[in-house]
Amino acid sequence: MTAPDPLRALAEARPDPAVEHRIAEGAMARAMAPRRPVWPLLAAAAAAAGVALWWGSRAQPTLPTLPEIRVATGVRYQVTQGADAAFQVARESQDQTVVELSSGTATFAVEPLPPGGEFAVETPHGRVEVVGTRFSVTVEARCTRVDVAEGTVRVRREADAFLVPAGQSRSICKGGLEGEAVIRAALDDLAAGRVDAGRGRLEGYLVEQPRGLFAEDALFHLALLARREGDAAGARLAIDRFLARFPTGHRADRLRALRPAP
Amino acid sequence: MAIDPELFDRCRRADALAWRRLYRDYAGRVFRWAVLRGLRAMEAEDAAQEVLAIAYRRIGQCAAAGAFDTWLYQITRRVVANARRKVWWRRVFAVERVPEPAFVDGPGPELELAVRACLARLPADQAEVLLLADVEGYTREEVADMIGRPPGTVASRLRLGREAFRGLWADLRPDGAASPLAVEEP
Repeated sequence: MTAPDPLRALAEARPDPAVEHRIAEGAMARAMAPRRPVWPLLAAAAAAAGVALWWGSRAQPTLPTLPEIRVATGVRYQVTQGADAAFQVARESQDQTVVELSSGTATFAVEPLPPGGEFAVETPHGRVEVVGTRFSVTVEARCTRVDVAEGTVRVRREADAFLVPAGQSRSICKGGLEGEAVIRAALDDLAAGRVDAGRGRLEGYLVEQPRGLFAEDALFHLALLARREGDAAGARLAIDRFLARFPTGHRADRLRALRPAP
Repeated sequence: MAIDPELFDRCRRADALAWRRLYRDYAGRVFRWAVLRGLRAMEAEDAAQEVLAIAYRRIGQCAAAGAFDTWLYQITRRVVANARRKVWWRRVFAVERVPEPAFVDGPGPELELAVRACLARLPADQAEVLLLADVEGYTREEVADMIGRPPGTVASRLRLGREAFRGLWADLRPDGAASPLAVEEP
């Protein structure tokens, strides 16, 4: 029998998918995060450069940057791109305009659409459809935030869709309803005493995303909930369920301390 | 597996969707490099995040898709070296805990830990060449590019590394089970 070759077998070695997921999400968050200055000298140099620029600009005042205006066939809209926006028109036809925003912020002012007309912004996390409005879309590492100034937009992610009226904001996150937003909503439910609703959200997340980025949070809060409800057997079960997946760390230590004796 | 040139071009244009795909493709590999270069799983996870974030910021310095793996590995080398420096006290005061398995797919926890233990006892330059040539399957010329040494030096380190590894493996597993270098040298 041929002996295995572990060194080469390690070429196929991969971490838990949840670890890969955390690496990818963490890297994206770090990549998109504003960088901190490393040397105070840099700050001093920047300040000196700023003074120099200000001094130079006194004699020759600059004009404010005008927003870029694009006119699509059948759909008129105006877009102001943030400096960090990565923005492009993905599809444009007689009655449809779809723009793709992969990072940064862009603000749109869209005239009322003609019958059958469509204007949408696609981001890595979902799709924002215009009903005739002015709104901003900001792509962050995990979520896309939509701030609506006028009118209404429809935010869609896969099968989920909801309307966001003027004056409101809404985030669509990677993992959509089963992502960070679900955990937050569940915690809100629990804090407000809507225990069954909160538990339902957490369990629902674990069913849909058993290896999801927030599985640890869901399992942890379910364990705390079981402990709080005073059901010793249920609490042991929930705590063991957490420890089986996440045996180390401060949460594991805390749950071990809380685990009821048999 | 080299990066898809189209994906590389999109990443150079700061396309966030392309970066998300690249991160998904490379997260496991960078993590594996970091673990086999001596980091614990938690440290390797943090290092892998840092490597991929640096890659995002400096992709303009990578000349071509064909050079991406080499370039990414060189970032990994620096980040891992920094991470290891941060835990210098562990080596100095010999407070190493028994390491935990880092992988779920692979040769199994026992063999994984045995291989990692042997790699950790090798001189770092030999372990690095074994990682790249014998684990990752890069050619000697590719390894030479990755570590910035001539191919002759790589061949020499590979030979010495394999010999040393065999000795360590025999000490660690005197039953001779599953010698990691049982195959003939190419």
